[in-house]
Amino acid sequence: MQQVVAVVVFGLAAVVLGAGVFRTSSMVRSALSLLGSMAALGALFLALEAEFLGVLQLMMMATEMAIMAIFMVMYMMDPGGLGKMEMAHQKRVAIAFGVIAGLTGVALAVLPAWAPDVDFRDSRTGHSGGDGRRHRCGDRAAPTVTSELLPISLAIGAGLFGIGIYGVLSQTNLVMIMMGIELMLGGALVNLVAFWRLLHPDNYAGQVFVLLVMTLMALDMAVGFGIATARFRAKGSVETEEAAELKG
Amino acid sequence: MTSWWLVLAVLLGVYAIAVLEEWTMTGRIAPSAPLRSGLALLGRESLVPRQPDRVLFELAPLVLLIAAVLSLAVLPLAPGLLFADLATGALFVNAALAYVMVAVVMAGWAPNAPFALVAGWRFLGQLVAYSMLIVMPITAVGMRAQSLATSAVVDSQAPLWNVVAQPLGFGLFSLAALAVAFLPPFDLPIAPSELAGGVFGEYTGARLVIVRLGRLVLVLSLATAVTVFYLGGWLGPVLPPWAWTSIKVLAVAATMLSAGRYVPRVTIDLMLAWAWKLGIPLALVNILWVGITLLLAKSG
Repeated sequence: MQQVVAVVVFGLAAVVLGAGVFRTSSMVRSALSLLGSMAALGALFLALEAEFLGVLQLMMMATEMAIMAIFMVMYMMDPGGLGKMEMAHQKRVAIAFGVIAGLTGVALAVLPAWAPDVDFRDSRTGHSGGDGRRHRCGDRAAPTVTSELLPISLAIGAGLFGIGIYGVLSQTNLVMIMMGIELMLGGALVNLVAFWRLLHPDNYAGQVFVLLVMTLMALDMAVGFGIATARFRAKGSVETEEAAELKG
Repeated sequence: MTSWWLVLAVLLGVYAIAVLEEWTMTGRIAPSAPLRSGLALLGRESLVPRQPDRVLFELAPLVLLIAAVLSLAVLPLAPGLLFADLATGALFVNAALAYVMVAVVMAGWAPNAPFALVAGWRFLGQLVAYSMLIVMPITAVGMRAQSLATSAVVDSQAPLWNVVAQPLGFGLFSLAALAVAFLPPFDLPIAPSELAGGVFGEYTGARLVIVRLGRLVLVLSLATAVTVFYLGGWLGPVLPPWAWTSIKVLAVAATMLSAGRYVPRVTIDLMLAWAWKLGIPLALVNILWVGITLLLAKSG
């Protein structure tokens, strides 16, 4: 029960802070809001008993988002947000896609019968159980699993994904688009950890994919900022609307 | 019951480090100086700069304090005497220390002041320099302990302390610890003479008390980390375990606070160059060295 409450609280914090990324006009606040969202995800991983992943997420995102902050201050015209410039385009399209993606994800999370019918504890009492999986001796004691934890986690992932899509489609600045991509990947991470926790918690190899996605997040930021730096040096801005021509 | 003893130990440790810092700066041991200066600060006017980022301005000292306290929470005073016995304790220390950087960057941006801004971004560069040098020695320490739990790390040093078994890692970790706590010679973010107080130069009154408290807890946490990872934690012959930890922590803290005062401040370009061109190869050599010694010990 506490676990469900913790997951809901951290998930809501992640979604709200993720939405806050695109609502503020101050760039550093935007980056720190994204940091808050990713840190809430790290805490959510800890609540889902993926301890190493949670600590890793907390650590990596602190550094990554601080670097994102400095790049935003470098490449954006009004980093303090005091000029209240309009930084978005095609807003209605972006909102539509974001809402469609988010609702589809939430529907996929809530409607199907994800949770297995068999209570987890029965299949892990040392017998091979109906599915014939091998269990090593000394496995952790069977966790008490609530069957509504998976739909909740998947819905949180869907919410983050929808906000990310809104960000990618509505923002004109390359750095802000990258923040939307980070949110989308964060939603994917939540899904991965939730599925690991509720379907294969005894097999830590399931966390390797999560490590892969985290590495990809870091790498895509590195390459993206390299492209942004090259573009900024050539043209003086990283706005996508000014990059519509192939010339130069 | 244990947590109350731990809280008391942390408060006493913080006070002791404050007294030590005063001693390294003035050469006098003034036991009531921290209390007096803290109360005096609380009584002074609390100024807020013009057009700050108000949310970040208030948050930065709190994040510094919380990050320092969290990093201290997983470090043991004695066997079983710690706030949270995480299986990934050593990594959690590093994760909490990363938020120190977040706090300093926030404090640099928030007051809308040029010196603070420059100091904050310089600390981000400093993080790029020291972060590998913090994590790689921790990796080597975890290799020897076959675990990331801090209690396991201390237990693995029972035959031989890590300062002797992994001297390269000890040197790099100690220097990186100085850089995390922005102590001289790595005190770029608060650069008293160069940047007019740096990131925390615009903080006054009660907020400055929280900043100073956060910094003291950070120094305590890093001294405890050096003790736990390299100096054998609570291991020692005659005294009870908590006494050994306390003695070692205070000795390390005194060294950390005084060592840098004889060396000029390291500028950011030199710091990055030395860290990446010399520090990281040495850290990798340290990991290689630990791996080789562990394999030899296992086979021999």
